[in-house]
Amino acid sequence: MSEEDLKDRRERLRCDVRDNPEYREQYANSVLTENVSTQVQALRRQRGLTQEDLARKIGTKQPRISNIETPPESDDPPNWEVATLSRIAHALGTRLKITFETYGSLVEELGSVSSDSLRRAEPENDPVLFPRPEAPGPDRNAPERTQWMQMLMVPWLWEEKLDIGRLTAWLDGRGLPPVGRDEEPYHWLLRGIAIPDAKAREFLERRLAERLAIVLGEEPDVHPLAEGDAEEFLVNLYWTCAGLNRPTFLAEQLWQAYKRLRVTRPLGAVRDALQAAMVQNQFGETKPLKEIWEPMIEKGRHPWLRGNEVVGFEGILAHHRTVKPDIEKIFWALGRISQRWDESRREDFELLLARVNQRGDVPDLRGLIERYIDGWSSWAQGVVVPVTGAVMQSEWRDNGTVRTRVRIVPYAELIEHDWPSSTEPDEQIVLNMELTDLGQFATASLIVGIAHALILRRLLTANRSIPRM
Amino acid sequence: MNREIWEFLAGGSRRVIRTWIEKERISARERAKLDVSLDRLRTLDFALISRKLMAGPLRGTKVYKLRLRCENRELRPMLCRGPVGSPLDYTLLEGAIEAGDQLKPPDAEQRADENRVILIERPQWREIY
Repeated sequence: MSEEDLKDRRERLRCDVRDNPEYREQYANSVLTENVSTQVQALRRQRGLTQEDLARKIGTKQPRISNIETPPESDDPPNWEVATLSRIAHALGTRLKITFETYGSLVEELGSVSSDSLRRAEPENDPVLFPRPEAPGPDRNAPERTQWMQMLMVPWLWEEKLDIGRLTAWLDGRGLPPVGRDEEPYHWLLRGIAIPDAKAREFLERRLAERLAIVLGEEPDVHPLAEGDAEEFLVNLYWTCAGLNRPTFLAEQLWQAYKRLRVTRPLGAVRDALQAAMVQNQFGETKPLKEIWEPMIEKGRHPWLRGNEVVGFEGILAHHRTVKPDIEKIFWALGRISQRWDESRREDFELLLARVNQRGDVPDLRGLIERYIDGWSSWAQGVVVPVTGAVMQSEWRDNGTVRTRVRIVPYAELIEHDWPSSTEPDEQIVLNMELTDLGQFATASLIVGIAHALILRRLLTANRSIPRM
Repeated sequence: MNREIWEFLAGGSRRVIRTWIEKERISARERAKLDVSLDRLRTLDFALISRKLMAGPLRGTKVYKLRLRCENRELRPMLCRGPVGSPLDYTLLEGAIEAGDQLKPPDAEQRADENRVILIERPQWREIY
């Protein structure tokens, strides 16, 4: 909007407000209603809350929040209680401020309410309470062109104003380092925030996710924002989202995009990129789980996405990490997959199992294995053993340095005692770990070793032969 | 992020919304509601525009309609995103009123869609609202 246009509109509004009491009353009421309802919605989204989340925080039901965000149409202001609004304010980390203003202020405020002006920092990020340091510089060890991109992106993300103009240009492939078409724009966007300071990087990721959410909210799948190829724009947008694990900001908009696109069902790169973005940024506790990942596991396909059991399993693993810890679901999925597959897919199954092993955030895996694998098909039960064996003989190298060496030889001791006794380490029969850092790998190895022992015990009890190692 | 709100010029000169406001005797209260709604479209992200305020796109078209409930009738100005110049802008395409499930004019959605197509062919047939 040009200055001239704004001046014209202000003048028209000034005349209407001055000369027409009905107009000014209605205008003031509508502005009040719109400001409150839109700001509640904007802040709720800024905090990454659903209406249900916010309702829970203030001890009410979701329809009450919905009623505030989209009040019933009326000429009068809605019948909101100050106490309710105040509770919402506190739940959103803000305070409620009520003032009486002149009608003339309507003219002054024209055009001042925007998505940016409605946002408020959380108390812990309040720049008055905690002045923010200067924007960090680029990673001096990074290649020159990456530094160049960081010098563009970091100051832009450091600003309070959520400008998306530059982002849409970059997603469109404009204004990037001149390296030809081998490098996709989303590579550069993700490199642009990869600075060494972890705290600052975390902040930059969040700010990028907030801006991506605005771009997603413009529904570029319906209404192209690209000057160039609209599909490439979407692919870069979704892959950038896939490179961030920020469901708080991205999940809802990605889910809305999924709901729109599942009608038209585009194929190829757009679909695959959206799928990858949704794996990393899952919306709600059950929606993608019920509609996408579980059907992929149950049926081995999806009506639109390029899904099979492996993709479904990836979705469930990510769900476990990003939305709601649910290790039982992982074991349910492994069980269902083992029933659908036959032994010819043993290697694929080993890979899936190994992916669980690679995770270190699985509590009481041993108990879960005991509880669940009885339901697996017999060949799948046996797969646990070779996977364990593979882990046992591994070394973990980090940039060429062996940081953790794990050797687990759990047979007899574990079979007998159910848990390793390390009082007299004996490489032949007990656990022997030389660890400088008992990280995720070692923990997972240990747990899987125990699973190994449990299976061996079962096999020995049944007088069956010990499977290959 | 500010956007422009444009108004389609029928025949290249007649401002469809201003004409409609006069013809339908849109009251001061109704106009105040319309003005506030358009202010919101100008300044808010698309995702923050309530679907209660703006519904669409209408079936088989790229046309949206504003939903403004007034005392005895509901205003339904039709608009679209773009469709020329900045994709973030909106263009008002046709005025309409709904009363008792009847749209006036009855073919408002079709007219709006036609105006949109005309505008794509003749991008100069619009002015800032």
